[in-house]
Amino acid sequence: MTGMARAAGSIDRRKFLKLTAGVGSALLLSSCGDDGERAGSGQPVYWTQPNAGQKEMQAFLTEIEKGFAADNPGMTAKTLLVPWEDSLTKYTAAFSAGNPPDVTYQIIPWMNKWRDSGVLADFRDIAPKEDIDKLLENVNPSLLKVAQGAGGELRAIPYVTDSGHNLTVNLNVWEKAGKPPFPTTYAEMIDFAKAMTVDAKGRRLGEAGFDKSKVDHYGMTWPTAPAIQENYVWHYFWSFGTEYISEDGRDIGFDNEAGRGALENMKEMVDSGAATPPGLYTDESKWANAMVSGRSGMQWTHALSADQAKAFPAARLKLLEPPNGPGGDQFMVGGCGYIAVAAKSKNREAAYKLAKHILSPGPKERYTRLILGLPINGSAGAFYTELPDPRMNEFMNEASKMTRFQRIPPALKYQPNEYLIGKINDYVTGRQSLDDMIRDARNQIKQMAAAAG
Amino acid sequence: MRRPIRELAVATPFVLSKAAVFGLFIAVPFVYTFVLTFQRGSILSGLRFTGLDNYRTIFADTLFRDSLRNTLLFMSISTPVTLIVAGSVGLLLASKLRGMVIHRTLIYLPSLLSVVATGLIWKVLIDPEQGPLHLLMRRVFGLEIPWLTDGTTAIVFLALITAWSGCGFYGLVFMAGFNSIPGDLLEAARIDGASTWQVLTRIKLPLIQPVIQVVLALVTINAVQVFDLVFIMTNGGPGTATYTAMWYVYQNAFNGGSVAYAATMSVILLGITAIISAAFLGRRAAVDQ
Repeated sequence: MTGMARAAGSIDRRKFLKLTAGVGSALLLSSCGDDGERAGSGQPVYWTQPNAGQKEMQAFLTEIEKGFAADNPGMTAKTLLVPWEDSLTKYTAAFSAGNPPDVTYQIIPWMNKWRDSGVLADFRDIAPKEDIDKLLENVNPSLLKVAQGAGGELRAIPYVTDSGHNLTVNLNVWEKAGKPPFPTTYAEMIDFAKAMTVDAKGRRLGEAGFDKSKVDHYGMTWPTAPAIQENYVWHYFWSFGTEYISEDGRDIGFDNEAGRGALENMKEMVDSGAATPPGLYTDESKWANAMVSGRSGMQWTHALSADQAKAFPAARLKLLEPPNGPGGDQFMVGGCGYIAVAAKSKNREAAYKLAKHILSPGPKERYTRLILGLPINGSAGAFYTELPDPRMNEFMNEASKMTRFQRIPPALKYQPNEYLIGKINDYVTGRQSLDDMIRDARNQIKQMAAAAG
Repeated sequence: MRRPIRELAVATPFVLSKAAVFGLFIAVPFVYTFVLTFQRGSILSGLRFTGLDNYRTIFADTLFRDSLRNTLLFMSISTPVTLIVAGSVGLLLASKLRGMVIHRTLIYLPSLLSVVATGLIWKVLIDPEQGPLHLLMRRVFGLEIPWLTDGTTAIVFLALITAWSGCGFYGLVFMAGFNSIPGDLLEAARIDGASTWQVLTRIKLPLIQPVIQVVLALVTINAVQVFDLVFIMTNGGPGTATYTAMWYVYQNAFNGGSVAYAATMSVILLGITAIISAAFLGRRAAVDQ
């Protein structure tokens, strides 16, 4: 007999039941109450995601809490690091339930979801004009547009931009492959990748005796993982002269000569034998290292991280300009992080104070460097000089030159990207013909658009 | 007269708390899901009633059809494999072999793992560069298995992992079934000269029919609802080859932008699950009669 059961036995069964019922009722009633402690205290809460190492991010957030308290005597703030994979679910639940975090970090797809939903406050209502003007100084208009509602509301402040996924070559592999000329067009990329594909005995793809079962390094990294591909597949459509969604947002935009050309180019790369096979890695994180490790020679890749620099000390990288499409267009996906205040914040004044602190020059620059981002308001001279590895400085400063090619994916009420990449993969990996894939994708996008209202 | 009032006073908080929890977490979401199926838009920007539009769209939705087909393929593999393996495990566990306590523990272990852990373990095992299972297949059998890069192989593989992780739990259920068979029946059969195979097929299996049907129903319903393993291992890929019905529901609710459409699919799946359950229950009732 347990201690609890013995105690129950000694006080009379009826009394015990009454006691339990009373406690249960009290608990039930108390759980139905308002989130009084948080609302009453006026302590603003900031939710963000781990864009850098967990430890570093946590340290940064502690600095934010301390800095906010120092800037605002008598006030404190609370921060929470939400894992990426849970973020959209948690944000959706919090906003839908009407009990959202006061300040949030937002990315473009989420802004597209919230922008006209009324869950984010209009900064014009909560911040003085001079503050807003200063925060928006030199901000790329395409990044700002994502934060603006249909009626010109300013639902978020652009916070940090991204280096994007730049076309990068591993120079060690390039030298081993005999220094083929760098590609300047999408068509040349395929030949370049072929020239960079070499087997264990040093034979190039296409040469007699090339052993495709023992490839030493491939020419191009081609993961079939939507989460990764989402960062660069759109470059192809844009550079070939089309958008992947129609102008009204209710149909696909690539059932035309340009779109089909872009898709055929992707398939030609995959079919050439120069692209990494889809099953090369089962772990998505390994794909990030495919080029820098020398397993492939070229990759659309994010900035060189400190971990990568440490793990691959001999790797030498070169950023290429985005290749030209048939019409000479060069584009790459732009990235941007935003700071937003919840419309239903219990204490908007404190929430804005916290947002203002996060967006102030010191913390903003610190955050930008921490996550290897690029300054949203531009930078005079090289922004990076003190990263742990000189190759990282070089990569980032080169990447900042490429931001002029950045373009933002279309703003939609629904999020078709993951689905579309799945369908594109169905085509490029040979599961479906181009026409069948386009037919399915068209039907599905129409359905998604209709369902989103 | 005073006693019933006192009892009522004691009982009311219990009933109310139960009713509140049931209403809040089961009845309200359940009814709201049905209401959502007749609406379009999003919860945040506002929903409007559109009649049966969502149902009409679903019947023309090729991806939903494909995801149902994938779910059916998954079910057609995971259900018989789980039944056969778990049945064999149950038979083994019910036997009086030495060290059976240790065997029971070991066989039950996979069932204790979360689906996330299970998925990650298998991902490591089949990694093409370092995975022990992949390297074994390649070096010993000369097989280059496209575990997750070929659509059909990926579905089959997911179904087998599901069977693997469930065989411990269902094995114990079968063991309980086998152990409940009266010993004198088995003894009588053996005295009459029945072979081990005959004892199994003519006596044991017919007598544990109720257990088989319960396991069959549970495994089938779980198969219709498969989601977590897809989330961990394939994300619906390659392409859309491992989109299962529940994965598609999730994609619509959280990545596709239409909770109402996801709710409609959930209701269709609920209907399918209800039909399966009714079929099993109906058969059970017929057997009982």
